[in-house]
Amino acid sequence: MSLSDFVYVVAKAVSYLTLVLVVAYIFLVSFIPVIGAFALKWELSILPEVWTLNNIKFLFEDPFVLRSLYASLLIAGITSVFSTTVYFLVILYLFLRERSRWVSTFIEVAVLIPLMLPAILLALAIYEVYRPTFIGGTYWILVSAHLTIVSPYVFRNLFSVAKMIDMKTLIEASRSLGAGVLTTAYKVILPNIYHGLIGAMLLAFAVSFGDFEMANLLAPWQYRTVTIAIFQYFFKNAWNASAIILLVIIVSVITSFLVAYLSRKAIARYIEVVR
Amino acid sequence: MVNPYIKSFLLDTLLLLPFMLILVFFIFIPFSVSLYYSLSDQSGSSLTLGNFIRIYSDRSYLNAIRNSIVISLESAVLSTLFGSLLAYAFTFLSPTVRDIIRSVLLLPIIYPGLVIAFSLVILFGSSGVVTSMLLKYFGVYLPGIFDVRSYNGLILAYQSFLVGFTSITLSGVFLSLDRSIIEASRSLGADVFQTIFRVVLPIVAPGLIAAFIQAFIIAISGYGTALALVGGGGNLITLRIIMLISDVEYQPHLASALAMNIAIITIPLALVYNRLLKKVVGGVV
Repeated sequence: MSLSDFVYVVAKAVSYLTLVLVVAYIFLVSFIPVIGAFALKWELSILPEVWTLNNIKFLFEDPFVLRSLYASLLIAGITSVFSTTVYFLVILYLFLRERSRWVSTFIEVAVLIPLMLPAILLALAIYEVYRPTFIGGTYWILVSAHLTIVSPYVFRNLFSVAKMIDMKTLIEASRSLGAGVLTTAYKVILPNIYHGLIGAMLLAFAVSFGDFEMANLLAPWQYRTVTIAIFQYFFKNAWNASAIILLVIIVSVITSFLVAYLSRKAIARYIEVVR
Repeated sequence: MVNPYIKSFLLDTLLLLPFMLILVFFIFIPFSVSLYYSLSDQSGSSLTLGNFIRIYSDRSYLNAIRNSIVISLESAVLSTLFGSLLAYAFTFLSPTVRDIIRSVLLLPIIYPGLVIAFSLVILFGSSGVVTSMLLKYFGVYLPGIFDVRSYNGLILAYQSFLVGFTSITLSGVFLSLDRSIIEASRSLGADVFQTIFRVVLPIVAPGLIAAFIQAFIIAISGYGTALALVGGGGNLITLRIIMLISDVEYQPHLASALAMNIAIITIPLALVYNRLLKKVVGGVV
């Protein structure tokens, strides 16, 4: 066996080994709280020694957790609907209107700003500006902060779906057949990008629901979110906190699978239309 | 009949106005105010570099900046390494298996970093499951060797979601890498190292740098994981910012100046990243 064959075999083996180890590690850290949520005593074995449903019961009985759940659902719901609407309009602009290259470059860069500026910087800035104003004590301050951080996710998702279904051709066909701008938007674009919209909305919901970094700074006292509740309960009772984490995990898992499913569905629909 | 130019202008405005409002009111204005805060002191009378001078002459702040940069560099190097190994392994797998693994890798990306930190504490913390089992059956006290609630534990926690980002960014690069180029290089007599350094590396380099920058930015700007794992006493820029706007010590001007230090690092990197992204197929965000 020559040296290069040997290197090739070793590289392949090492990459497979890394793959197995990394996936196992991610699985482990992702789902440990799922087991923890049903544990009463878990010290010396691979699975808990004493199982219980008390942690789940705690979830529905503790007033702070219930209030935080309500706050998170409210804030994530508003954020997802708002952001998807806003970025859908931007996508419409990019595909429907004759536009200069400058404007589209500007939009593409502006959407990525939340990736350039750390969440903590934006949160701090929003905190400094809006804390003393009328939105300071309401949940709108957190919604406004979340509207900025979800933008790359929502925009990227919508943009790729719009590109995939070849929106430009659809629009040109519709316009050349005599449909107006609004008819085109409502009757041609909306039904085609529908799956992308739902996907983007779910993604925005999950990002907003799982955010701790901005909520920790900005959430007003009555609207402390689920992640803040996790943080506050963890060092009191890890298994109770695991039950709250379970909620976040359920939201994330459902979202990531639905987003993958919906984007596949969007492609399938497009292929059907083309045929 | 309305003038078509006015109509078109109104339509443009209608479509872009909400986005512009978000941009101006929740990014530009707050950022400018924060920049102004960082350049002024508590009295707010005149512009000064006092906050920055205070940071750069204070040993503990300098340490915080150094710690943040070192930890993020280490996390980014490790995750780029693992990510490229994973992306390389992806090229041998069938698309179905690849999709399944990819969705597993995507999971921790949507998770709050908090959850990962707590999972690690449950497993490897001083009274964690793995720790107590090791102690009982093997007599090994894990925190003596590897303390999860330290900067090293933080790097381990970061890997769980950074590898997702880097491997998915890099899998596009590795999958589009044409095998015939490598075969051509080898049939022309290049040995394996020449093939790697002269042929493969120049092609994947933009992807590697993009993945590295992405991982670095995410690592340096997050604080949820660090707060949960290392605790508020950890000396990282982000944790110091949080301390500076807590009830104990309220100094928003100094906090803004510290936050600007992160921005000075991340903004140029993000611009480079944005450039590179056009050459790289795929990617998460």
